[in-house]
Amino acid sequence: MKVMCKYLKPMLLAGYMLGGMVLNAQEVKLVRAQALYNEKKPDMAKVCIDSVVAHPETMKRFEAWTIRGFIYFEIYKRTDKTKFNSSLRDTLVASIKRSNSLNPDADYKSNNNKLMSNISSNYYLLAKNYLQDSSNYDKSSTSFNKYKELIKIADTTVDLRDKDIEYNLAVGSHFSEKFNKDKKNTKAFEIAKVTLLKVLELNPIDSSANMNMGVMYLNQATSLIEKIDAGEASIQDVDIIQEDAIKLAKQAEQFFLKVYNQNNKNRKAVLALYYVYRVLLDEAKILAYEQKCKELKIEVTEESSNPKK
Amino acid sequence: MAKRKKVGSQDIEVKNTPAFDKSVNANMVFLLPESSKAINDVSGKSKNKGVLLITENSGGAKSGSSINFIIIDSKQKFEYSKNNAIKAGLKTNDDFKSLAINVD
Repeated sequence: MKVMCKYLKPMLLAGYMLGGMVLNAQEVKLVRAQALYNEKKPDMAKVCIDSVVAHPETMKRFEAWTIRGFIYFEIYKRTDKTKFNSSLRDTLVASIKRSNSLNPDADYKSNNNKLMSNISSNYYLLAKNYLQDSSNYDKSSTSFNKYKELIKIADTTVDLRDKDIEYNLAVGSHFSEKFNKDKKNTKAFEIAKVTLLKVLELNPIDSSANMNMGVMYLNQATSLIEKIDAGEASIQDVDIIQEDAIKLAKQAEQFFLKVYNQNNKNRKAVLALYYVYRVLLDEAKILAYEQKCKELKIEVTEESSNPKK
Repeated sequence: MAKRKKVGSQDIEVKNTPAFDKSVNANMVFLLPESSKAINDVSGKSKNKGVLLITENSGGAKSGSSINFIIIDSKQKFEYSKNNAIKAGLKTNDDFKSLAINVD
């Protein structure tokens, strides 16, 4: 923003001297707002700049809108950086968008992009914090979508595929872990499923996403079988429970096989498949995978429980 | 399961033996697949003694066990021989038959 100050004053003065025009009150306010901003007095600068952008003579000046964005950013940094809802952030984003719509010169455009990029990074941080600190998927995903929206404005050529994978995998892993600890937490399962499937849509062979999906399904299957083993299911229900467990184990199998087919020495995939075939009571494959486990020095338990993670 | 479940008011005790031991007063004998050759011997020795003989081997119910576990389409099913159960001295319940693959 120092750069803008350098350009703004000479430009206004040149207009005054060459065109014989008089600096009107709003233009003076614009210079004043810029000066206050540079003097690190954003609260005073805010009052000035709000008046400038509301006035018909200066409301179409991209400089004014950019300066407004930076002034609001200073105040936002102080109080609202970690807030999910921030009118300061909304205003500064709207100001930068307005400046962009008024065909700013290269310097202003570059500053607009820097500010937009900064705000988008803050949104990414919010998305991460809402996930890790409070497991709040709604707020986390809203923040992530805002990050994407703003980074695309800052850099129209940005490729967000890797970021999409990274974020959705983080969400999927977080919630699948929650589900594996508490299988009654169906909301966690649904969130994990949706986000992991998004990862697999972008990269069908992503090992972590495939393993996480598989483990969730296998855990559900083994929970059902454990009900039978523990004598909790009535004999009339055994058939239905087995049917459900088979469906779930077959779902798990397809994800584990994708990992195994990429690397048949992947220890987690080999062990997971061994447990899948235990649920499916497939004697030949149980023996085959038991052998693979031995070769890879993987310890298997005789219980019908699952590998968890 | 045996530690926390009861049959009526009776505790469940599980004993593993390498071969059939007549002296053990068992209510139920489970022959593992590797011991399936002993079916005829065990069913003969436990005749009319009220012992439920269970196997896990193809054709087990036809060879003398009352219940034989098998796997069909990835599912654990069981064959039931009412005749063998009666020979073993057990009272049978016909409701049970509807859940099983009946071999008689």
